[in-house]
Amino acid sequence: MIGPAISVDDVFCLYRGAQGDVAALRGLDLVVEPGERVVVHGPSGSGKTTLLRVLEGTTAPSAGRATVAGFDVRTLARRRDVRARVLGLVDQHHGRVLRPELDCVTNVALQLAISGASRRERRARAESLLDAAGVGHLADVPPVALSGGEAQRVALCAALAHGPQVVLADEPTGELDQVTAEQVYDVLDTLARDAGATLLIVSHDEGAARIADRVVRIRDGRLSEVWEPGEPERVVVDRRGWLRLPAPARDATGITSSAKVAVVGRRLVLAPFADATPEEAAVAEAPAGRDLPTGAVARLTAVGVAYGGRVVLAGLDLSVARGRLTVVRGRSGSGKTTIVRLLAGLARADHGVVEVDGVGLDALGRAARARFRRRTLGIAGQTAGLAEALDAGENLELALTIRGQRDSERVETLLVGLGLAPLAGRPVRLLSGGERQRVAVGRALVARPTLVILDEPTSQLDEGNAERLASLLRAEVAAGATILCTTHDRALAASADVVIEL
Amino acid sequence: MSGVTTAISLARARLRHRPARGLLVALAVTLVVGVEVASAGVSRMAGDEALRAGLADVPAGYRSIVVSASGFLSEPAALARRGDLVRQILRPVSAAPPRALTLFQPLADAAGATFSLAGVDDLPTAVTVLTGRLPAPCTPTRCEVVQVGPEAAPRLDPSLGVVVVGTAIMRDRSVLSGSYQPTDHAPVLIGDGSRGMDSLASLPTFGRSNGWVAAVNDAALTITGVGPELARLAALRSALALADRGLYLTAPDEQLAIAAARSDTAARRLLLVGAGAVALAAAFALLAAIGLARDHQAAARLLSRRGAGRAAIAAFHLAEAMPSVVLGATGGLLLGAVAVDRIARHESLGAGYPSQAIGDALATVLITGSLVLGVIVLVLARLATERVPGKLPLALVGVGLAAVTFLAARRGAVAPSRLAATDDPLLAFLPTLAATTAALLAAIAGPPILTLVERALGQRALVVRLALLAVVRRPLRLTGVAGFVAAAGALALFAVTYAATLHDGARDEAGFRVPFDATIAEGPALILPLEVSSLAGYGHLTPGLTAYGVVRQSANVRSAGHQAVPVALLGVPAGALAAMDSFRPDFATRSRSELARLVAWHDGRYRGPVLPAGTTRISLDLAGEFRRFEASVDLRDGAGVVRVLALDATAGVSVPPTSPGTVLAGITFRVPDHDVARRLHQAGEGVAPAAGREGTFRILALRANGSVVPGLGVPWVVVSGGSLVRSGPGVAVHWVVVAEAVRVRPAQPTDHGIPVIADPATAAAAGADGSVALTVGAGSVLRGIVVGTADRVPGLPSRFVVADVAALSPALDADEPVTGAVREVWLRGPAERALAGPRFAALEITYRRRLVATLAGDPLGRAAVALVAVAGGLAVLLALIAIILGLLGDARDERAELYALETDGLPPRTIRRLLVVRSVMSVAIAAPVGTLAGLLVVRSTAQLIAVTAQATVPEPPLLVAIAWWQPLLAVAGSVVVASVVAVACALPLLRGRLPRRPEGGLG
Repeated sequence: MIGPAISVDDVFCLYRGAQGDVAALRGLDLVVEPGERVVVHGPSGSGKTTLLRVLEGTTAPSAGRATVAGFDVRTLARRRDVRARVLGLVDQHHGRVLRPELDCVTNVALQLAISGASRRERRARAESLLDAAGVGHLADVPPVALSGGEAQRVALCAALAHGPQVVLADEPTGELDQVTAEQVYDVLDTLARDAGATLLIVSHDEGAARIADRVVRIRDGRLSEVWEPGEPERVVVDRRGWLRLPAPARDATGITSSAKVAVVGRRLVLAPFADATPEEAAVAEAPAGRDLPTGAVARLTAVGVAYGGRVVLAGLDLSVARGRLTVVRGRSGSGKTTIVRLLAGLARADHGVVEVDGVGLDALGRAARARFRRRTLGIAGQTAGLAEALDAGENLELALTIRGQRDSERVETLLVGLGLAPLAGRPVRLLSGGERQRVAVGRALVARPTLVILDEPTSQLDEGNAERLASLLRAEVAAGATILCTTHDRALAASADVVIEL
Repeated sequence: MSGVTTAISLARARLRHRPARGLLVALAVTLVVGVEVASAGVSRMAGDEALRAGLADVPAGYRSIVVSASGFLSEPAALARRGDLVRQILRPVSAAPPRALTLFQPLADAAGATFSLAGVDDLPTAVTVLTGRLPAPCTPTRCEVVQVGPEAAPRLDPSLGVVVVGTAIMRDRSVLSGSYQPTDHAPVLIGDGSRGMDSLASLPTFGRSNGWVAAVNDAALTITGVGPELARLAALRSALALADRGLYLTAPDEQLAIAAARSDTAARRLLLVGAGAVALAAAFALLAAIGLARDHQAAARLLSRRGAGRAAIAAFHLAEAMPSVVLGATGGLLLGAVAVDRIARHESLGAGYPSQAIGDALATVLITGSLVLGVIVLVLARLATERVPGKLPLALVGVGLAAVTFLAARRGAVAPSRLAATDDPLLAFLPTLAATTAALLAAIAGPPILTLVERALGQRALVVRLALLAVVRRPLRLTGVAGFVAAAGALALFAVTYAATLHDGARDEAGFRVPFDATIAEGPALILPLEVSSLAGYGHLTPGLTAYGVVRQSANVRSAGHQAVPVALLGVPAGALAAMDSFRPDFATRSRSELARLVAWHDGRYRGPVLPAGTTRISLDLAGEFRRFEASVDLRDGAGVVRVLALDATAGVSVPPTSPGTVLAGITFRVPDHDVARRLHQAGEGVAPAAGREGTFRILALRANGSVVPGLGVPWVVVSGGSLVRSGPGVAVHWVVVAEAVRVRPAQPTDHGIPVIADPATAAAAGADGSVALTVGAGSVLRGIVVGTADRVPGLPSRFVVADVAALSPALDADEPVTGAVREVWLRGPAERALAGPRFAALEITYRRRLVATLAGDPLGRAAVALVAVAGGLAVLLALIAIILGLLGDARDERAELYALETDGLPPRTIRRLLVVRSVMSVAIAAPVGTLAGLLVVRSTAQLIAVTAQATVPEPPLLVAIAWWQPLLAVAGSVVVASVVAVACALPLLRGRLPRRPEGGLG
């Protein structure tokens, strides 16, 4: 390959929306050399996914130029064969890339089949990749029978089977626990190296850096920081001189809306104006001096759950303390989501007792459980299931309406607390994954239920938003809420009153 | 290529993985194609039946192929050669070997009576002997014959050598008819063998016609066979002319062409059903594609990401839809063929129709298959790109289509007269056009309306609001449902209207011909109904039976500057008019009871000297110049029956004992025939009559059984031949010989005119005072006062005058005795059993019920109604499938959202209700638009519906049977049915012990 593997030159990208255009990329510059591994971080809505779409050739830049493996992205948009040959695409949701109608080996071999490889050749290649990814024994199994980690590894094999020059990975471990995520990164690293491919990973997960040569951060559609793993972050100054001040620097210096600039020797000095005031915290503070309630809101006693002979939980005792933020941690497949589902009445224990707010859920039928949830629980799953016809604000209102409540102030407060206020009127189908996830959390919190259950609420959030969410949850707990949360997020775990390791 | 193969493999795997939706699409295609094939089959059957019916109406003689020989060939060998030539040439077209015949010019027997003499080959198969025996073959000196026709045998000269050996009737009606029609009302003597008759020595040079007759095999003739048959006949004609210039072929070309055109019209009407089915298929395909899209989209995107080219993606779209369409089309061909076979067997129409139907429908089936495939593939491809057309282009397209549809409906091109025009595309495109318009209008108008409703609901009715918002923000499914409902509505409405209209049409047509339950008229034996029973007697035949005596005459009406126009003159009791249920409201602007009230005549008493009951002799005391006349009196009894009696001027006349109330209705003095002849002769020679050109006579007294009958002093009028003399005793009449008769009678109230109802054209001929002069019978003039008009009246042609029989009968009898006699009886009530006795056998009785059964039972009409009923049923069935597909599609595609709602605490029942409400909501918006589109189609094809099964315009015209409430009922019914189906479909959903996670996996 002559020249950079990826070149993004002053790219702008606008989306047309009902409420006006949205600028997802605003003059982004990025160069990735052949064989280089670059991880892209950035808050939700910062333009990460748009960058990937531009590089894939599925979204045309509004201005600027981008090339991948020497091909202009507009060429890639036209020439699917070229795009497929040079690119390997890894998706956050394995369900999008693995067809349930085909077994794993056929899924992996799909692209080879399209490119004309013989049946024997493509099967051999697929089996070899699956072996390399540690899932060779699952070759003839349909994807629906796999765990999240297994399925994602098969999806990696499918993305790399044809030996692409550039691999673009979008949150490849977004739904996985840390241990599983590390395994997936290792597989990705191995497979990409074997193929001699350049790797661009978009992820919130700081763990992605372990396989990166370079890490960049995008904010507001521009490259804002760049660093090598283990090295300090460097603020990027673009060709027009724009730079973005990191939030800690602004907070520390009190620079908010404007600053004085001075050049001292070869140094640039920024100083705040005297009239600038620190921005008000968006998240409500916890009421001070409150007496925390005691006792358990929910309890699992000697609970056992097995799926098809695979024991997920065995004799588990767990209680969720009232007025606390309880975090459940554990590797992928350890039963975190099963606990959430048991407490939410969305799964049944094979044995043991599941009790929430003094009610034994085992005795309740499906409709009674739904009514119980309406009275008692607020739940946000890992995949944000939202009312797609509604906007963000309406989704929160819907959660209130279902419970027979109306509280516009509460909705507004939560939208601000979740950083969604500017997006309140935007249909949720136009939101990014992280934004949708925050809406889902808002729906769980808005009706002030007895118990809030959140399953991996920060899995698609960047660090800043994860911190914002953690603050919000703390504030809610301080206001009397009881929250049970499964997470891999260390920051969130650090905010917890109680951490349960599985 | 490998991309294409892979895409096809993936599509196959997907079909194997989830076959249900593909099978549903296949089922829909099967049903639609089945209707198309059945439509083609019934069209063909209808055409063939109409052709046969048309030919059956043509006299047998004109349905034959006739070869005539010009010139006279007495040479037997030459005749034989011509016979052989004709047989050889006609063999391919005739059902049986051509029959040679000889017909002599009319002959006169010894008494001077005319008869015909003919010789026919193979006579035993041409006639049925009634008496005697079949004749032996002719010899030159003796030719035995059978007599056909009038009973009186001709008095044959023995030297003729013709001997009658029996009587017979014709069995083969193609022989001796048409071109070889013997003299009317004269006996025909037929010998066995044309050649033998030609050789009769007694008539060696007598004029004759020689020819050969072959019947057209019309039983085997089909609509598609007419063209080749005509071509074949033309070829025969040329071949014959080339072979022998003395031979000329006449064939029923014109009759065939007319019948073929009519049958083509009858057949093409059913094209609308096929066109509706195509529209239905297209709309269904749209819905199916929307239902399939979500999952398909994901797979197509994956293929695209994996590098599949456009061809491979297109192949993937095709491979997803193709198996369902091919399977469905094949099933539909089979289903349609079976249906056609069953119909053909049921109607005893013979074999071959299923294969012909498949052949006929193949093009339509290919169009349907391509359309369904095209729509599914296009929608899938379109949705795969996630590009949905903007609202403005959609609105423009919708407005444009609405305008085109409106104009199409306005121009009214779909008329019976245009049916035969095979190049009229409107018929084929109208349902599709209407359905597309409805779909787009629903897509444009639906969301704003639903938004308003949603806003009006505020925070209430969560489920309804959610459903509304889902429909508003995803209008594609609404568009599909509207288009589908429009197509289904159009077809169902057309079917319902068509069936109802034909049913009502049969009822109306029968009612128009038989105004009440039965009509009794004079039969072939010339016996009048009232000669069998009195009017009251008919009424008493059975309880509940009412008899109305009817007077029917023809009259002429003349308006200033116009020629006299014949009109039918009907006298009917006003009460009968009021009770006439076959008098449709559209026949007149006024109601029939109002017309009856206007025309009612309450003074039915005939004025005149009343004879004592039991009178047996009547005489007149006459004075003056009366002896040159022959006198007659007419007596009118209380029931209105008039008897005319010749009267000896001096001796009077004996009569059967008179009944009470019998009056002297009038006296006629007629110039004897020999005097008339002499006067005409003198006039011809320019000689003035010697005497008696005019004079005066006086009626001094009327005597009954010798006693003077009082009452001669009433006012009298002279109707014709003279004038009344006002002075002196008795009734004095001054006569002139210009007229052949002098009629004098008592003045009647009807002389000043009788109230009548007339058709608008006749009414327009009335003078300023509303009176119209009706010339009746021998020239008497009746004055009618037009009190009302009607466009048509049951039992009458387009030009008519109707009066109360109580006025018309005496008015007619007053001037021309007996012309006002009741010659027809209408019965209202259970007439059939009452008239079953042998005493009524000589009368011509027509029952309305039987007529309705005959008209409605027309196999062609029934088949057409059955077909449209099936098509309408299919529309409803597909609508149900569409609702099911839509609801299941929602449940599947939005399972994540529904799962989230249940997680939020909505019980499964509420979520099911949400799905149901959403389905019903789409139908509720789509149904009015769709019904409107259906009405549009029905309206624009109203003329098409309003023809009989044989594509003739009936009398009275058919009314499109659609009431204002029916569309509303259709809308309400659609919503109710949609609700029921949606509830039934939603019931099994979300029934597990726990909600299923949409993303799968173990967690």
